[in-house]
Amino acid sequence: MVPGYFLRLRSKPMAPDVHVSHLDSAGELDLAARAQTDPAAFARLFDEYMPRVYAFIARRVEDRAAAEELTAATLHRALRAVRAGVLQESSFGGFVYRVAASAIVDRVRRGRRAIPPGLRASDLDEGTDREVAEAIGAEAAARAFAAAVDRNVLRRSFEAIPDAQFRVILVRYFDGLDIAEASAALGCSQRSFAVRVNRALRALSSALNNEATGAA
Amino acid sequence: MRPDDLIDPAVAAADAVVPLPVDLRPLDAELEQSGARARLMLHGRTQPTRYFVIDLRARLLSDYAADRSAGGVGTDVIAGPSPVSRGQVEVRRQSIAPAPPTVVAQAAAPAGPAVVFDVRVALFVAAVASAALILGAIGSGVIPH
Repeated sequence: MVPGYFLRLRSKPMAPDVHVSHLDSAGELDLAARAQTDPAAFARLFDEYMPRVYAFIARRVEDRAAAEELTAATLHRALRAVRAGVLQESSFGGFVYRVAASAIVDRVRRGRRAIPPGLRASDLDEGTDREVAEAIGAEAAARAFAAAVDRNVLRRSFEAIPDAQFRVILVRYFDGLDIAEASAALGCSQRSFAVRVNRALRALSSALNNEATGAA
Repeated sequence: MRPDDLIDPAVAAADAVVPLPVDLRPLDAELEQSGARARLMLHGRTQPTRYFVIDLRARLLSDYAADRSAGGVGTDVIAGPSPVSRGQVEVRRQSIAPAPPTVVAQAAAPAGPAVVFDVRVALFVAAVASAALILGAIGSGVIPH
């Protein structure tokens, strides 16, 4: 272990990326508080997060019209939350990523079965329905990420680790979200997210070793 | 609003320092690079159209304008308990006295048959009438054959 090298201590991704927030957490909290009555404050939050949330959704939903619909629904809910003053102490970015992630899974649920109006799609979940819907919702992202990986052996190793761990890898490396947003998207605490990334990397490393042993 | 959409501040603020074992560092770096490459590959597809951005922005911001025009402050209003007890607001049937019938039909003049004037029909009728007059005049010798 190398002192000073910590998982996700940084608040921004390492790789140069256009999808990086330019707001610090204090500024974001201030904007979210002012946005309750000030449209200019909400406009700033919109300009900051809308392209990033759209990209997050579009990496998972390949149909542009559907991605736009989910993005609009996500930001409508964010607006309602801001105006109701329920985000006073919470991260706006975390909130929108959490809502976007839920919206993607709900869309898969609705695609798999008819949901009567007025019911939440998750209310009809049985057994492993949630896990299956999350896995289906991440399929497009998994394909795109695998296509960008150079080593075939690493690409094959993706299939050897559990879906839940691979989704952690996707949010962390493919989406390049900072820790607050990534943990919110997965619905866990920041520390829990960091531990999950650590475990997913360990599992992936083991799968790589197994691939290498099998090839030898 | 779903309860699980809100992030508990206490949980969100939890310390995220988790040391990464040194043997995982190369894999971490490789995945970082792959992720950045993947985002660049998908860049065009993951950008919203300008029309969508402008339209959605305007729709969301119009929510504030709607509140101002309605005189509200934009927060939800929850009705408090009514000062009037339920017993006091009972609806009672009232007797209705019979009134003499009112004649209202005379107020409006009876409408005649509606004639729709059409320019094309009028021109056609005029042309037919002119042709008939000319043929009649030729036939009667007013116009020499």
